Amino acid sequence: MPVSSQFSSADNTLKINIDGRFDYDCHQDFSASYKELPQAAQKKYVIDLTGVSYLDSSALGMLLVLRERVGGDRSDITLVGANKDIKRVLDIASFEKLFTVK
Amino acid sequence: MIAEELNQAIDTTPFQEVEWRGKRVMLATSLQQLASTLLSFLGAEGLQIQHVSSAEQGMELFNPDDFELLIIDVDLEGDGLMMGHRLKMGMKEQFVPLLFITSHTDEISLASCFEAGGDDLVTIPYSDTMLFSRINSLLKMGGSYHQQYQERKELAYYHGVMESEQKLAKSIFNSIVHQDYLDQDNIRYTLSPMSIFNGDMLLSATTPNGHEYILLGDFTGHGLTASVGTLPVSEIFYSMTAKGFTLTSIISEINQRLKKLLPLGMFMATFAIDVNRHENVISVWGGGIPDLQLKRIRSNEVETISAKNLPLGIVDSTDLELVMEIIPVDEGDRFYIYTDGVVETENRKGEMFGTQAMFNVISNAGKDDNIYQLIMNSLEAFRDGYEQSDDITLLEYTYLNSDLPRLFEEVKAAPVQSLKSNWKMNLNLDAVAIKSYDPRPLLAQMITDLQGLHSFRGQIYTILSELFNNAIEYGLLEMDPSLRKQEDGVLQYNQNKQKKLKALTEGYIHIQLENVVTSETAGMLRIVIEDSGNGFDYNDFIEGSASGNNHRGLGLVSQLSDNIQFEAPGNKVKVECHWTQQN
Repeated sequence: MPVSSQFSSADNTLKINIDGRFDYDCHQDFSASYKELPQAAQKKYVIDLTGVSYLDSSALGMLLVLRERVGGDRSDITLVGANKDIKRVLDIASFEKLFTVK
Repeated sequence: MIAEELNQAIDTTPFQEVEWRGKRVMLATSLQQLASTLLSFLGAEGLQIQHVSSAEQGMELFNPDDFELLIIDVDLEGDGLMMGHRLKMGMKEQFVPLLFITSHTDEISLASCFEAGGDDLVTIPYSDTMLFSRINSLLKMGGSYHQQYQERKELAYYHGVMESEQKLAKSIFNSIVHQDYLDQDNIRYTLSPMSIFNGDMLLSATTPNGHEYILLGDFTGHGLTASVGTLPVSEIFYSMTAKGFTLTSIISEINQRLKKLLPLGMFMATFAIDVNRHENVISVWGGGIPDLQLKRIRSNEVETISAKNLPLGIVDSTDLELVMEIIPVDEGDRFYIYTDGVVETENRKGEMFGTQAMFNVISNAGKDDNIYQLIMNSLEAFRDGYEQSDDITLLEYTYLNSDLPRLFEEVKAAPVQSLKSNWKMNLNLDAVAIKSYDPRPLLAQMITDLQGLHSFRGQIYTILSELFNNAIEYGLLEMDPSLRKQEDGVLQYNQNKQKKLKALTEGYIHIQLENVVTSETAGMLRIVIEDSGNGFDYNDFIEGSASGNNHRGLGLVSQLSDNIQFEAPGNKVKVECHWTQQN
């Protein structure tokens, strides 16, 4: 399963893990991963990119859709574990202006 | 138990799921007895039967569009097997099932029925039940084949329609998106689409006062969805550039339009570049796109300029940092911009070409090398025959200072009847308005539209532009023009200007425009600009040669106009231009 998610009620955070290529093929799995939980239940999102080997512009689009859905400018989404190449893609897109990148 | 039930089912109610009613059957037999038995039995089931009594008659009457089933007696006069074979051979793509009736029961005779193209056979004497179920299964087979045949035909039709529509749309897209401005000796580029439509776009156009704007855009995705956004972008880009808007205004407008237009999650990675040959600088704005590489002619070194902003279409324009990065350039400097498809070009092993490789090619190249070709060669060598998976676009731009662009390009517009009217307007801008609004494009537009002076637009825009800039820079901001002549002075000058403009809280600029009709086809346009500053030493300008002093802009104005006058203390300038209507 390339996309998996886990909700922790202790810190009110939904953690989404992605493995392999993060591209259009993940589209449905990715949106399903955060749509299943009731909107009010989660406040924070952590997207774990540790296992991601490739990330394209449609993946950036999916992240933007998630951001808009969970509050736009008021959203709290952290992208973690990006390797050097993935970090570069996020840098080029200036996504640090919209997400917390760690 | 199960076998019993099955037998019972077959014996009592023959399995019939195909509609028989109205199905057309050709029955070919020379035996009157057989013909009448079958006619009454099958006719009772609703089949429409056409009886023929010879192969000759049958072949003459048969057309695959007119029948759903063929029943042929092998012993037909003129040879039933031959008739079946001929008809089957003639069917090509269509399929009408063929049932042979034969009184021969030896294996060779039975096999020859199938060899002749029969789909099934019934031996005489036959049982009604067997005949019934065979016809049923053949009608079913024929029906599903026919459906597939129709669907294939429709599909082929729609495919053809779609293809021709796509070709048409592509030619429209091309004529809108790609204009011939890119065909200059100092520009080399490649735009390679993955499919008919392209998500990458490369635009270039010149402003009325000779700035060249270049825009490289890369939409999320490929093909038609990615292309849709290219239409409004090119529309905005070309029309605003022609009117003389600043590049930041254009970026802001494009961003806002895309934000409204594109679905969430779709955006356009962008590099926008303003090439200013008057001052030997390029101003750069990038969002979400790979680095610009600038190869210096003097040092042979490469400078990397990164895109510092979000791609367009994601946030509101008010949330974008619309500040251009200003870079002084020399004649012969070359810059490279490209979409991520270039650096993400993959080889068979799934490895990517990468930004470092791109940098290395440009960096290692000598001054006289054809870098564009070197890049293309390394990409091809890297790919090694492996298919390209994304749109790739690459531009090489060589900065040429000697070849100034045509300043007053003929603007192709529908001829407008000139109004024989005398009009006058005043525009007063306070500090807030001056900081946030650029009145030049709209004023130039208004004058050219109102008087039908399209061929003068570049001239009018340039005069307005230079006078307005002077009022801001030397009037309100009290900039030192001599700074621009120093080494790296242009950069310093522009930085100072931006800083001072940001801090501006007081002051005004008055713009007065007046048109006086002097004859049926001629008139005079008067432009008066006054600012709240302390003025400047205009005697220096009047006495010096137009290009040799610190006020080159004013020199240009005096060349373009018929009269230029200053009022003490130098905060008010009056310019007059005579125009004649061209037919």
